[in-house]
Amino acid sequence: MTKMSRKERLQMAEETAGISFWVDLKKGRLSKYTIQKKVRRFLVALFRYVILICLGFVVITPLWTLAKDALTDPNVLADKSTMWIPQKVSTLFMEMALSRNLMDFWKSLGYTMVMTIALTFLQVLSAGLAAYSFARLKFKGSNILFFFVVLTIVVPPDAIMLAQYSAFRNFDIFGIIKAVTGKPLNLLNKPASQFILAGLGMGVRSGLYIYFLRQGIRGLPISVEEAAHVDGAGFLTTFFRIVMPSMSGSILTVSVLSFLWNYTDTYYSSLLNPSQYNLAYHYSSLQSNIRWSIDTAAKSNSAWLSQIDPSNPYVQTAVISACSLLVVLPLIILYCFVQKRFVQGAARSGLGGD
Amino acid sequence: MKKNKNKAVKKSFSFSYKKMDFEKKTALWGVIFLLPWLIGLIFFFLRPMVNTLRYSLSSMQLTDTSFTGTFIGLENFKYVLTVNPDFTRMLTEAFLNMLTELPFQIFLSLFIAIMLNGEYKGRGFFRAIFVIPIILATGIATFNLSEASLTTQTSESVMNMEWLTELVVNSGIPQEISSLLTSYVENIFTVITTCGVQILLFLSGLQAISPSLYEVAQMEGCTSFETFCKITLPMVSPTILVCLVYSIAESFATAEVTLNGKDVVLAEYIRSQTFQGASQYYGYGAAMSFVYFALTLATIGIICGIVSKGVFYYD
Repeated sequence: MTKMSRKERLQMAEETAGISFWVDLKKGRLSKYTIQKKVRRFLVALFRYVILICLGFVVITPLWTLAKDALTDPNVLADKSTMWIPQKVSTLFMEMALSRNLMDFWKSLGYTMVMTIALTFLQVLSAGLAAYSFARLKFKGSNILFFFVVLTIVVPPDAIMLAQYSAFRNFDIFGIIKAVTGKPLNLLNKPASQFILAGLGMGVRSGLYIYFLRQGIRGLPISVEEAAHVDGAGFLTTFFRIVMPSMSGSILTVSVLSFLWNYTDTYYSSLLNPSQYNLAYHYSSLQSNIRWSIDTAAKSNSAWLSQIDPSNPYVQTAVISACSLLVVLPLIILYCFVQKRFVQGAARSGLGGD
Repeated sequence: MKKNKNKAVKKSFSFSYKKMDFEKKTALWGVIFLLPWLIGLIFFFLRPMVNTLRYSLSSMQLTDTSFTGTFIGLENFKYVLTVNPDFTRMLTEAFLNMLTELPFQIFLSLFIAIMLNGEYKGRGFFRAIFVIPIILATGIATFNLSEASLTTQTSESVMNMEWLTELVVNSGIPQEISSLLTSYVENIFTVITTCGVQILLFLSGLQAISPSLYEVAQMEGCTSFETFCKITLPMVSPTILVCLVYSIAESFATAEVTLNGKDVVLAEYIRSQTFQGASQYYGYGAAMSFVYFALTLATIGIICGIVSKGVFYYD
């Protein structure tokens, strides 16, 4: 297409109706209905952006302050004249947080990611199976059992900590393990215990996932499953080939939540698997001895030692902010990729009669 | 491992499995699908629960080797409910806070989810932003250093809401309602932080609605409001139920109440009472936990019992 000047374009638009809204409006070519529709659409869009930008600002503020603290240059730490952007930007604190003496970030990130992905997979699978059973495969007493799902949502794990601790310390199934090995199994400090819990539907907030997936499955038209059964599909086939794919939106949501909460969980990881490579656990334990950690980190690098004083509370806050930012950032980056898959569900109304 | 188990069960039933009618097969597979969760429930949840219940009914002693208790009946519960001056008051306060926050929370999260849903520029960015409250609510980005914080102003004072408060107060609305409204506005930061999960759940619920329903509504000439009432609301109603349960449970778990003029988290108060040294307090703590569970469950039972009447399912 040849390039046209603005004037030429306008002229062309004036000749042909329906090219530009403004031109059409000026020439009186639009019906009242079209104008109304356009105006309404514009107002809705405006309203949406105003609301989203305002609330988005509220939501992003804490993260922004975290980033601001983490990226401030050590020499202007005490400066309080700027609020949103540090007076002088420096990545020194981020480098410190990445280093071996503080977070040992890259190694920890790898370990945490592998653990979290495995836990998420197990958790979603077990929750999906249970949810399908509660939604569709009703048997006597399944409604009563569902009460216990709500109970697992209500009871926070640390409220029964003492009993749970001793249950993990002396794990046994009706005395069988004691009879075989002579003493009950100690499940504490073992990563496998976390997998067992997730696989058995008792991981971090599994109850919520079961409830949510069950509601989702109940919202599916049952006719598809019936058709599958009539065509001779077994229950496992129906679940994995029909129910799971048509639930992909809910499964994705549950996976995101499960990933977030497993990644940030410190209760189960400190009880069952207190590994120093678990980012969230390591971060929470770092807070109590931050001064000592900064001290050792600074001693390993003379450039840092000359710039910061580990006993300075500002320095401590900045370092913790940097660590915290490092823990949170992978989650947000990952979510940016995943959220593209949150799209309007495939139309499930392909069946006649729906 | 799970597959083998299923196979084994199938085998033992294989003689009669083919002869079973569909209903029985459904029930059998219902149990099989539920089996992993059921095992987990019994060994990692019910057993600790029953033990906690036992603690609450006894006076506990911690010796060098074991943790034993003598049965004292409902003494601990009596102490918690009648002798302890703070607990029932704090529980009531948490309950009332929950009741006032709940409708606002559900409404706000549904509203934000509807705003986030749909086609518009920058959708990815806004959706990514609204996951931040979930991450922040886990407490991973909050830290308490005893010394000074770098931030000069707290986030509350970033947005000065006083003009809005005055506007509402002077607008002639009855004082009870206006004070409720202003408290919502003042707490917008905390409220949004507690809404993250619900927004995500609602978003997923909204996206599960078949677009053809909206098409039909448009063809038939429904107004937007009618479309919302007749399509959106019924179709997300199952999600509303989940969000209600989650909100109530979470609201109790993170409830902040006043004790001696200070704000304390109820759950932390219970924990501090449980582990305040002498082992006899384990019993008190357990009894407190149980009163708290019972209240939460009762609330969920009543509210969800009412709401579930209006929930729409396909089956």
